[in-house]
Amino acid sequence: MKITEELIAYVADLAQIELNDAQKSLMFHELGQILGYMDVLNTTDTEGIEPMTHVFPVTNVMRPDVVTGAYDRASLLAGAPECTDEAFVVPRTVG
Amino acid sequence: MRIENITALELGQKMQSGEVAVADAVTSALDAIASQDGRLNAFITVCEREDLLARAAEVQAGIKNGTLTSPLAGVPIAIKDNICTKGLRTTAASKMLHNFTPPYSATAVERLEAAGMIVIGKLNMDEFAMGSSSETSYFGPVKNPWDLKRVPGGSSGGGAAAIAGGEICVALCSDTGGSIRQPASHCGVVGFKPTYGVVSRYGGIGYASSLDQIGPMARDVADIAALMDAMKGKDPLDSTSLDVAETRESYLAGLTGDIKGKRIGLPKECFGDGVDAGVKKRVLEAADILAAQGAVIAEISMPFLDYVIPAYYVIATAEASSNLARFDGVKYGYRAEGAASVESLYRKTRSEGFGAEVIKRILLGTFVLSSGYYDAYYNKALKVRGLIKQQFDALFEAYDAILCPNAPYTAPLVGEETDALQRYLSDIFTASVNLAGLPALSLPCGFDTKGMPVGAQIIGKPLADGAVLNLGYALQQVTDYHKQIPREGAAV
Amino acid sequence: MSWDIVIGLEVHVELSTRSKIFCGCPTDFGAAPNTQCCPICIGMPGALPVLNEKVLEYAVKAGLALDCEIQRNNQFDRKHYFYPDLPKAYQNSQLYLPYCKDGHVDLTLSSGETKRIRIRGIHMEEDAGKLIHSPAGDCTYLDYNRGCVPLIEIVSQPDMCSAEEAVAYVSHIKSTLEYLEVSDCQMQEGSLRADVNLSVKPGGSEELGTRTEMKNLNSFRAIERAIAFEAERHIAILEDGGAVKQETRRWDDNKGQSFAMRSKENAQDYRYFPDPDLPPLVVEDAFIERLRANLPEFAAAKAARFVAECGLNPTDAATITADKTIAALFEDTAALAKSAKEVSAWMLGDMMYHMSDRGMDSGALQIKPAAFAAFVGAVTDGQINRTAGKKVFEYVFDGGDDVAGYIAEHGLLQISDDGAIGAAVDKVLAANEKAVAEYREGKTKAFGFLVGQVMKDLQGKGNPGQINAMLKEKLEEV
Repeated sequence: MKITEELIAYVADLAQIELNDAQKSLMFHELGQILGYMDVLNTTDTEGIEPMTHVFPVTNVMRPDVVTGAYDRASLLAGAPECTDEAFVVPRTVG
Repeated sequence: MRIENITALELGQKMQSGEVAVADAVTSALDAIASQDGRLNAFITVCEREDLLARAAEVQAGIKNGTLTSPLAGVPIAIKDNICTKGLRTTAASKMLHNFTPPYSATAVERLEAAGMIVIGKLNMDEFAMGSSSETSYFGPVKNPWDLKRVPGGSSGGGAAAIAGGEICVALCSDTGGSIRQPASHCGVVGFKPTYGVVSRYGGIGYASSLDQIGPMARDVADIAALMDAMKGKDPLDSTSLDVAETRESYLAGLTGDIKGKRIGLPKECFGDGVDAGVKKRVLEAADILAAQGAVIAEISMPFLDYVIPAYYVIATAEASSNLARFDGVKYGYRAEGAASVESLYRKTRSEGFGAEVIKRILLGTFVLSSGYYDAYYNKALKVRGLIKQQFDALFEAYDAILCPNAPYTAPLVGEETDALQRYLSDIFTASVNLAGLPALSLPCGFDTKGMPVGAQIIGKPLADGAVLNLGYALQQVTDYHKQIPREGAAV
Repeated sequence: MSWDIVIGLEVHVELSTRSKIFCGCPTDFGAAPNTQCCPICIGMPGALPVLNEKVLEYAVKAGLALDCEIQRNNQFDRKHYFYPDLPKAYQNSQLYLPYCKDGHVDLTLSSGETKRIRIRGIHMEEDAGKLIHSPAGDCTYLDYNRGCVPLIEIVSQPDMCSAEEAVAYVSHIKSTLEYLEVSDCQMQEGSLRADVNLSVKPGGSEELGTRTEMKNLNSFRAIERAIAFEAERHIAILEDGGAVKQETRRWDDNKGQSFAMRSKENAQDYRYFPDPDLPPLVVEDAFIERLRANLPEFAAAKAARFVAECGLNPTDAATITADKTIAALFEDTAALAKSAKEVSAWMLGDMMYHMSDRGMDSGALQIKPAAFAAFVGAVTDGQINRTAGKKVFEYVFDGGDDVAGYIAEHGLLQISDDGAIGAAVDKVLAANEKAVAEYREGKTKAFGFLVGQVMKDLQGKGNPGQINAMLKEKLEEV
C-alpha cells in the first residue's frame, strides 16, 4: 500500500484532526512504514475463515426493559467545558 | 509495618487480626509515595490524606464489626488512570481528560472497594494506554525503579513502577496488547491479563474494546488470585463480560502448587534470533523449574506470530479511532479556546488535546476503516484474528499452557527505541494473547546481565485463569525473584 | 415530454419501550433537558451499552407485520460521523447484518388500484439528541434526552411514483405499527419521520435518474410538499438540459423549499464496523413464531370484517380502521349498540368534526363505548331527534356517561305526543295564514317553513315524522 499526502489529509479530515506540516511529514513516513508492514496480512491465506469481531461465541446479551433511573443532571454537566443549568453548549451549528 | 516489602494478603491478614490499623497501612503507603514518587512519577493523582483516613476509619469499623471479611479489606490499591473512579480525577494520562472527574466508578473498582480495599491514587501510564514505555503521558514519563535511566514498560508503567518502587503492593491496570504483562516484566512484578470477559470492562476507558481487559498487578501470584476473586464475574453493565461457571470458583483457593502432568509448550519462535540471550536463558530456566515440579515441557510452533502485529495494530487502531471519537470538547474534558464553529471546535480540541502517538493511531485506525480499504485491512485483520484463534485452539488440544518471554528484551533506556515500527514489534509475544482473548500471567524469572528483571509469560486456554495462576504459584514456591527489591540506581 | 418520478422512503420510527435502547434511562417525551440521561447515553468514557430486550422484540414484530424475512443472525455496527447531537461520534446501527430483509406492503390507492411497495430491509439503531439554538443565535444547546431512544429504520425500494403513494405508504406503516403497539408514531413529536429519496427519469425509461435525499420530514403534509417541490426542481433542471446533483437536501417546511446542505455534510464515509461492545444476536425460530402467533388484526383485515359483519361500506370501514384507537372504539361501541352503521355515521360525522375542530388526535378521545351505545340507542329509538342528538353526542364526546340523565336534565326528549304536536300545528296554522295560502296554491316550499315553525314551537324536540304527517293531514282537512 502506497500512502499519499492526499490520503493523509483525507483521513485527518475524517478524524477531525488538524496536522501541521511537521506532523504531516512524520505521519507520511511512519504510517507509510507501518502500512507497508501490514501488507503481510494480504499474503496470509484466510480462505474459509470468518472475520472474528468477538472472540467468544456469546450471543443475545440483553437486559430487561426496566427504567433504572437517570443520573442527576448537575453531575453530568459538572465536567462540561461550557454549559447552562440544563444543557451542554457549543457554538451555533447551522446558520 | 512497611508497605515496601509486604504483599496485600499479608497486610490484609495483619489488619483482620488487629496487628496493623487500617489508618497505618494508608499512612505508610502515603509516606512511601511521598518519598518515592518524585523520582518515579508513577502517580498522576494521589488522594487527599484526610479523605483516605476517613475511608480507613470506615473500613476499620467494617473489619471490627465483621462486615468486611475479605482478605483484602483495608489494603491500599492504586488504579491506572484510564479506569474511572467516581469523584476522583481520571485522565487517561491525556491533556484531553486532564480535568475529567467521572460521576461513576468502573465495576472492577466498585467490587474492590466493596471488599474493603482503599483507592489511594491514580497511576501514570501511556496516553490512552497507547505505548509500551509510559513515555507518552501528558504528565511526564514514568521511571523504572531498577534503573531510573530505563523505561518501566507500558502502558501500565505507573503500576509496575509503583509496586517495584515500594509505593504500594497492588494495582489495578488494563491490558490491550500487553500493557499489564510487559511493564510487570520490565519492573520485576507480577501482572495478569484475565480471559477476555472475566473482569468487567465497564468504566475502563476504551482503547480497543475487543482486546481491552482489566486486570491486577501485584508482588506475587496469591495476591493476583485474591484480587481476581474480588473482581471477576458477570457484570450486567458489560455485554461482553462472561457468565460462566469457571468464574464462580475461588482462584485463591485453587492455588495448590500441584502442577504434575501439566503439559507446557515452549514456542520455538519465541526463542529465536530476535530475542535477547539473557531473556531466553531465564525463561528456559523457569521451564526447567516447572519441569522439576512435574510439568511436561515440549517444544511447539506458533507460525502465526508473523502476522500477529499487523493484525493487532489494524484492529486496535480501528477500534481506537472509534472509541476516541467521543473526545470532541463538547461534553467533558479539554476544549480548545476560540473556536467559532463546531467544526473548528472539534479540530482544534482534538489536535491540541491528543498527543502524537494517539493521533498517529487514530489516523491509522481511521484509514483502515475508510471506504475502499475496509476489506483489505480491517476485515482481513479480523479473518487473520480468526486464524490465530484457531491455531491457538489447536495448540491447546495438546497443551495446558504455553510458556514464553513477555518481551524480546528487558527494559530499554529512555529514548532508546526510536523507530515506531520497532516499538510496535516488541508487543509480538503479548498481543497474540489479546487477539485470542486468552488468560496470561507475567511473572519475574530472574535478571539479565544488566541486572534488569526478566519476565516469563504463561498463557492458558480460555477461562483457564485458575490453572495459569496455579502454574505461576508453583514457580513462586521455589523461586524468590518476586521478592527482590530494587535499590536506587542499581540492580541486585 | 413526460417524466416519471421515482421515490424511495426511509421511515424512522421510535419504539415505545420504557427505557432506552442501551441504558436504563426513561424515554418520556417532553422532559426537562438532560434529565433522562446517564454516562452511557451521554457517551462518557468507559460507559458500555447493553441492549434492551424489548427493542429486539418490538423490531421483530414490526418486521413480521411488514412481511419481512427476519434474519437469524444479526449484529450492531458503529456508524461514524461528528455532530454535537451524537455524543459518542458514532451511532449504533446495523449495516452488514441487519435483522430484517425483503418485505412489502400493499397499498389501495384512491383510484381503487392496489400497488405493492417492496421493503428492502429494516434495521435497529439509536436516536440522536436534540439541538436547540439560543435565542440570540450565537450558540446551540444540547439535550441528550432523546439520545439512545430506540429506533427502527424501514427502507423501501424505489417503488413509489407520486406523493399520494408515498403518503399512503407512510400511513400504512404508521397504522401497522400503531396496531402492533410498538410505537406511538407521533409525527409532530418526531417519533415517526421520513427521509425521501427522489429521482426523475424520462417517461417509460428504464434507467434511473440521479437522486437527491431530503431528511427528517415529520408530517404527511411535509412529505407531500417536499415531493412536489423536489420533483418539479428536478424536472426544471432536466428540461433546461442540466444535470441533477446527487446530494442531501434540507427541507424547510416554512419556506416550502429544499436547500442543498454544505458539501462537507455530504462527504459520507461512515467507517462502519461491527460493534465490539455488543455481542451478535441470534433470533431463534421459536421466538419469531411466538411473536407471529400473537400479531394483532391489522387495518385491512379489520376493515374487511367490519364490511362483512357490520355492513359498513368499504370507504367508511377503511377510514375507521386506519386508526387503531378509533377502530377499537367503533368495535367496542358497535358490540353494545343497536346499529353499527349508526355508530359509524356518528364517528365519521360529528366525532371527526369535533376532533378536527379541537385539533385532537385519537389518543385524546374520552368517549365511553357504553355511553356512546346508549346514545345511539336513544337516536334509533326516537327518544331524541337529530338536532338534540348533536348536543347529546357532544356530551358523550366529552366523556359523559349518563346519557339518559343528560337528556332528561336538558329536556331533550323527543315530543311524540299527538296532543302536544297537534296543538302546536293548530297554533302555527292559525298564525301563518299567508303560508297556508301559498301551500294551497302549490308552493311546496311553504310546507318546509311551516314544519320549521312547529319544530320551533316545540323547542326543537318534536318528532319530525309526526310533525310532517300531522301538518299534512291538517292542511288537507280544511
